[in-house]
Amino acid sequence: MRNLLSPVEDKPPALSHDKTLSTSALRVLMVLKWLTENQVMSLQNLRNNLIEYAYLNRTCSDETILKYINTLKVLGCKIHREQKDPLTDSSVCYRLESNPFPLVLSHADVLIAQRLLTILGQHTDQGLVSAYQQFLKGLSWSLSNEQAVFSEGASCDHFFEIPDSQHSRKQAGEFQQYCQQSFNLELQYQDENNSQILTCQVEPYDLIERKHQWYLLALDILSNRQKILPLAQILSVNQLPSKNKRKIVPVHVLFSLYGRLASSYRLYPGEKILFKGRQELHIKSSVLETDSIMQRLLKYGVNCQILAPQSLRQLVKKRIEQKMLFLGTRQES
Amino acid sequence: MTEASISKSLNSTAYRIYRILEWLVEKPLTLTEINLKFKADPLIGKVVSSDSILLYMNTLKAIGCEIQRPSPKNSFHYMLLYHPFGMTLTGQHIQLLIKVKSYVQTMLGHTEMLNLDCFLKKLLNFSTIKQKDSLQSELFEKSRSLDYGKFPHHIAMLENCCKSGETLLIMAYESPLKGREVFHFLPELLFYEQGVLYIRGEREEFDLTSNLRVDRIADLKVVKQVKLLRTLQDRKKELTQVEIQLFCLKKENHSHTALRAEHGVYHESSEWINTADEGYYHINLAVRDFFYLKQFLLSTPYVYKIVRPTFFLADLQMSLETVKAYYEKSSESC
Repeated sequence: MRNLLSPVEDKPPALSHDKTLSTSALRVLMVLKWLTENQVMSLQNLRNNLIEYAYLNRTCSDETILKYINTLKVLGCKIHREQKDPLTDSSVCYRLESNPFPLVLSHADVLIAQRLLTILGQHTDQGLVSAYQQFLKGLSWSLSNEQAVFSEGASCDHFFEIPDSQHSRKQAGEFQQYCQQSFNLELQYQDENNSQILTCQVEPYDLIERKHQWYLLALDILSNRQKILPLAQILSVNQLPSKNKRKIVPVHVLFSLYGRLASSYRLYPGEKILFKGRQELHIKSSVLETDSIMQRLLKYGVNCQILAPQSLRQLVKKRIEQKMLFLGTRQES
Repeated sequence: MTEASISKSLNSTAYRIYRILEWLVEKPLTLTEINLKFKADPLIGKVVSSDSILLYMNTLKAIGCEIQRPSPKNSFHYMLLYHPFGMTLTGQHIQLLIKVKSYVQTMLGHTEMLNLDCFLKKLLNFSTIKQKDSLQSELFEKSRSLDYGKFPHHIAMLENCCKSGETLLIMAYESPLKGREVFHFLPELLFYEQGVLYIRGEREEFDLTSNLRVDRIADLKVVKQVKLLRTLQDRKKELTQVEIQLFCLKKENHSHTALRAEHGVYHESSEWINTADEGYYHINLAVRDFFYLKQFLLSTPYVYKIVRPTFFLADLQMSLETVKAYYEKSSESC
């Protein structure tokens, strides 16, 4: 990732009097480039950048920079002068109000960007929705102001508005903090049947999302067993002074796939191929909890077998036996 | 400000170079086209020599632009491949986009997903990142989805066929096991699942509905075979009535819509009767495609009874027996 995202090299060969290009125009355009990258730059920083820039190699007066800025203004760049302290020239800054080469979004682009915000706002944790909202705000600087979609009554503010926070999103945010803080929790929760209220003390580890519902992955301190509690079932939380003593260890699940599934299977995050035959594939997956992967692998039916760990194989066997008990055997039916 | 006073406060070469960049962002231009635009611009108003244009292009390259030189291959156009005035995307931004795409792709329909892909590609193309292709591949790979940008013709054609319901196709399909197959196909529904776009429809030689991956379609052509079209249309209407009793522990918290959403059971014609006292949902379904129903029943943590049809019950029992046999052996012998 680092290689792919490495910034574009800003250091041209040191040619201060290159006849094959216009150095004065280059300086103007470099000022624009720096302003595009930073949006706001002080006069002093612009001057320093120009001095350090290899194509110039000489000092640059404030008047010259002002001429560059004026050229850019004539070209249509919206640059505003700002001065925090009217008495000191060092506080002069230039702000580029929008991207000079804006991104043009279609109506469909805007709709989908907005739809994502709505979905994230309703279902996921505060962190993700805030990050996406920030990203869109950053993007708005690069958008064309004359986009039809915004002039049709839908303002930018509306575009970036987060839908009303849902209780579940808030709750997920709170529990994410509990997990980060690693203090033990005393929980009151409803059992699966909603028939009684139970209490337990847990070491909180992580939040898991399954089919858009949030669960707390924790270790029950009393029984020393892993617990996965739906957040919707948790009625009250009390943070205890003691901290988590153990670290969660990922479970390595090994499974094989057969037939057509083996030839068309696409790996999930955290999965590795251990063996690839013509119609058989062995995959290793590292997971924090096994319920989700068990449910996913069971849907593949006869085309999938969990090879390890043995405890998970036993659990699968038990689940199938339960189902068969209800369904009956083929002879009976 | 008059044009004369503007000219005095202006770096005219920078002005011209900026304008070239603006024009090249829109579309590739020949030398003559650039000069025509120069002549039309009130602050330039004249043509310039090819040496000057070369100087302008070199200056653009010096600020980081990548420009393809005119050649017979590009019909003698200057083509802008990259400019450094785009949006800065950091590694964190990319991870965010991957996360968002992975998250929402289970919740959006196929049109929305394709729109999302277009939007994300547009963002990547607009960024200052140079290795856009690799980054695009990473975005799709890490979000476990396929890029359908290469198949607009097939997708548009299938969308039209699904709308009309009256178009029979002859399709060449790259099957992972059987290689290339050619068959008649009546498209019914395009749907997006787990990052993959499928077309559901009736295949001439199969009794049951087929779900085919759109990226594996090698070729499509409309054919006129009225008799076969009618046969497949009639077959589409042959629904099997299924009755299931789903024993669900959570009585109060689970509305049937929540349960359906949770387990991905999608049947428009389904009817869920909550028999809370007896602890199960009685589900009536009219089914043509048993594939997803079977997947749901195999993976659900709840137990159930299949009231009818018996062939589906037998099929499910057989699958469970086979799977159970896998787990009778110890893991060492696997």
